[in-house]
Amino acid sequence: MVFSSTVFLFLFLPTFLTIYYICPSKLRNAILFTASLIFYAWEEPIYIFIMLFSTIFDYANGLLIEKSKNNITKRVIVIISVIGNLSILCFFKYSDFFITNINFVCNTNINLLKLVLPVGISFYTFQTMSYTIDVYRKKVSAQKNIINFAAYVTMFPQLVAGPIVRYKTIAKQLNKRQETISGFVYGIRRFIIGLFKKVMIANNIGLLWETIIAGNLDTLPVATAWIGAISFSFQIYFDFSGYSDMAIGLGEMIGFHFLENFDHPYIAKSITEFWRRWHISLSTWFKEYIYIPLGGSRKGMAKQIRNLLIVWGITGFWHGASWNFIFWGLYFGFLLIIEKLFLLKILEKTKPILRHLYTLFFVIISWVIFAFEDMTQIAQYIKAMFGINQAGMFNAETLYLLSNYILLLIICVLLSMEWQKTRLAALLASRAKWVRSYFTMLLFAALFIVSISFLIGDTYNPFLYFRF
Amino acid sequence: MKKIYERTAAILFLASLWIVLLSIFLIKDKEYSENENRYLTTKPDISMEDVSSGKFMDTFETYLNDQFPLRDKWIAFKTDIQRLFGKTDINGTYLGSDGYLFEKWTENDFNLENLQKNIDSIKKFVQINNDKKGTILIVPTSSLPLQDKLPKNAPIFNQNKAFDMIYSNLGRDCEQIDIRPMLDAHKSEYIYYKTDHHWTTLGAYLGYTEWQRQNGNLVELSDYNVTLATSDFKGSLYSKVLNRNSALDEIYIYDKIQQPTYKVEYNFGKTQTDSVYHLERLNEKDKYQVFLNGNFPELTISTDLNNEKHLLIFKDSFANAFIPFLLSDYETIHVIDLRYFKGDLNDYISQNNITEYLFLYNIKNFCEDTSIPMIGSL
Repeated sequence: MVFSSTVFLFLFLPTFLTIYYICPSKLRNAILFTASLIFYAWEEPIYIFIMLFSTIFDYANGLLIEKSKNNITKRVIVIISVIGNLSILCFFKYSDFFITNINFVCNTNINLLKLVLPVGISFYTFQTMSYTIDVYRKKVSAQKNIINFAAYVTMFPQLVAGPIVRYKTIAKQLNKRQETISGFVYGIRRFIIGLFKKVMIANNIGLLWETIIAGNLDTLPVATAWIGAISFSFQIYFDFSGYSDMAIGLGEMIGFHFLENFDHPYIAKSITEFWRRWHISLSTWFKEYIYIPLGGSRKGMAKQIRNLLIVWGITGFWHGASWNFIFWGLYFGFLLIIEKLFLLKILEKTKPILRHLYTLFFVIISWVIFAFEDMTQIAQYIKAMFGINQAGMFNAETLYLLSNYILLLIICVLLSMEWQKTRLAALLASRAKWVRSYFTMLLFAALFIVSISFLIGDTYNPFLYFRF
Repeated sequence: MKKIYERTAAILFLASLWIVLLSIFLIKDKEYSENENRYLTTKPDISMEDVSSGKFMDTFETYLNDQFPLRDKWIAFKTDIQRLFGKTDINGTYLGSDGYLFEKWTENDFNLENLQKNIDSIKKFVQINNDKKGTILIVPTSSLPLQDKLPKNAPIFNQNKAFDMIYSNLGRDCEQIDIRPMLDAHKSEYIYYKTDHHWTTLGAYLGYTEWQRQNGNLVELSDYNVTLATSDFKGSLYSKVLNRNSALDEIYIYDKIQQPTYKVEYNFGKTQTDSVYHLERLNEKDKYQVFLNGNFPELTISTDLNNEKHLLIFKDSFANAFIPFLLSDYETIHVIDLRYFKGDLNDYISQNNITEYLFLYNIKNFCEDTSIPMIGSL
């Protein structure tokens, strides 16, 4: 099930919330667990067993690590846990990638497995690993109650697309949490914001990107190529951060506080800063469980560069089983190394607007690498962006697309900025509270209604010429 | 104060979700969507097998979407917002000036091989049937004659490219009626519907006039009684956009004052009427079906003329508005829609003593049709 669907919004969510709040606190984790299983099984009834296996496996590992007195045993168990999780992930996500590459290099002809990727597997394997590792590091104590642990692993708000909630973030809330009406209302707001970002902003700006890449990339003029790359940058941001907002909102509705996953990434003034603001839960995870254990920045520049390359290669690969994602990760790895070596110092002395443009330029290019799995398409597209394909600066279609999307593009820019710290926000906050409250309620009702109209509109499927 | 506000917000949110859910379940399911021209999914039965295969979930989701309360209103609202954002391309339809809607047909959509295949098939047919008089009349899509009404800079396929290909490929064995100059000369008149992809009866009349002119015959508008059949037609393009303030189209009927009596037999004589117009269809959504009652695999019109002229038409729906003009010219008119025709064409042609044939297609349908090659493989 996805959040932006009728079945989730109008069947699953009201039923779940009602049952959840009718039942006493003791039962709530069990309800959350059951609901999450239904949520997951709706899409893939079979793969539910992988998730349950993962749950029991790491529940046991956690307990064993804590119980055993011998450090070597602890170590062995945590390694088993990591290997177990990574094997599941690799098998389902990367088998065909490896087979294809082996076939290519060794000239063999091994059949592809063509497995359907279990939804959310990249997220929940990382979450359960964070649990056993943290128990091993004695950062948290093992969860004794298997229902509580199962509720953590399967928790539907963050199951499909994160954020990656580390166990220690919500360990206390799992055992005992206080649901409040304020939290519930805040959750509704976050959810509506996320839904709006996803169905109204991301899906529509995505149409622009799809229109642009549907044509011949070799005849794409410079301006159209840039508009396309920018629209994809907005699509991926609003899609992903919208999904995170919905997840955080749903968590808040039932008393969980997840950490923020995006913090206005497109206002960043360096690539280093961009990655502090983009998909925060993932970069934190990699930093904590790979970069720092590798030695981080503490063992000299050479080791640090090695560590950065390893972490960013893996980060890229995590995004998808294809070479372009690895290149995308390494591209950022290189940029970050260059910034660490000398660029940040130079940037500090340049004007903020130039720093901002520099960052956006490289981020936008990165999304082109991210967007196409086919290397030739990446090359074609980047050639178009720099006019190497000699297709001119713009054409009539550029003007047409701009006239259709300029308003949406402006809204994307406005929504990417950080308004909370501006004078306007302060002014609004100082107005009479009840006006603000009811005005906000109306505003959110409007956002919700607009989102639903786009949700329903997308299912409109006129079948015009034939009828049998 | 804060407490009351928060309680209200929470209750309103949950209540609105419940109201939608209950109304989907409690209100009687709608069976058919006229705007979408398709049957809607109704409440599915649950079975263990369908649940484990996931089929139940898919159907159930479609059911919720199809039966969503006030569905068409939500979609119209979405169109409103898109227009507010300045979009002139909604669901593959251009929103032009003066209320005109256009099919979005771009260079990317054009399939050259398919067109070539269709042209080759017709060439072959023409060669085999060179004992009969052959004619081809291709109707442009509204975006060619009415290109001034398209949104500014809107990318559109250059139909002339396809016209050139057809007319230069087909030899002299087949008379070619190019109605583009005629339509262009009348582009300020009501030759295409605003909300439908078809040409109007006036457009079809102009096409007929041009054909007759090339054969040395003069057609006079004063020979016809023109009556307004309906003035609230919202066609196929409207259905794609569902714009609230849509234009309303008028459908006119042209009756020749001196016309032979005739009968129309549909689908190899399964049904029979004495009019090419089906006024009862004006009560439905797709009012264009007033012409010949829509599309049939085969239909035959027999008039009381005795001129030994037997015409066979291969056509798409654009011909439906055109065929009524032929009533006073032929003893019989045989109409075949290759998309649905399943019989033996050779037998059909010889049994009906065909003396003339006509290909009448809209250019877009002609480029995209996949049933035309059937006639080349006789």
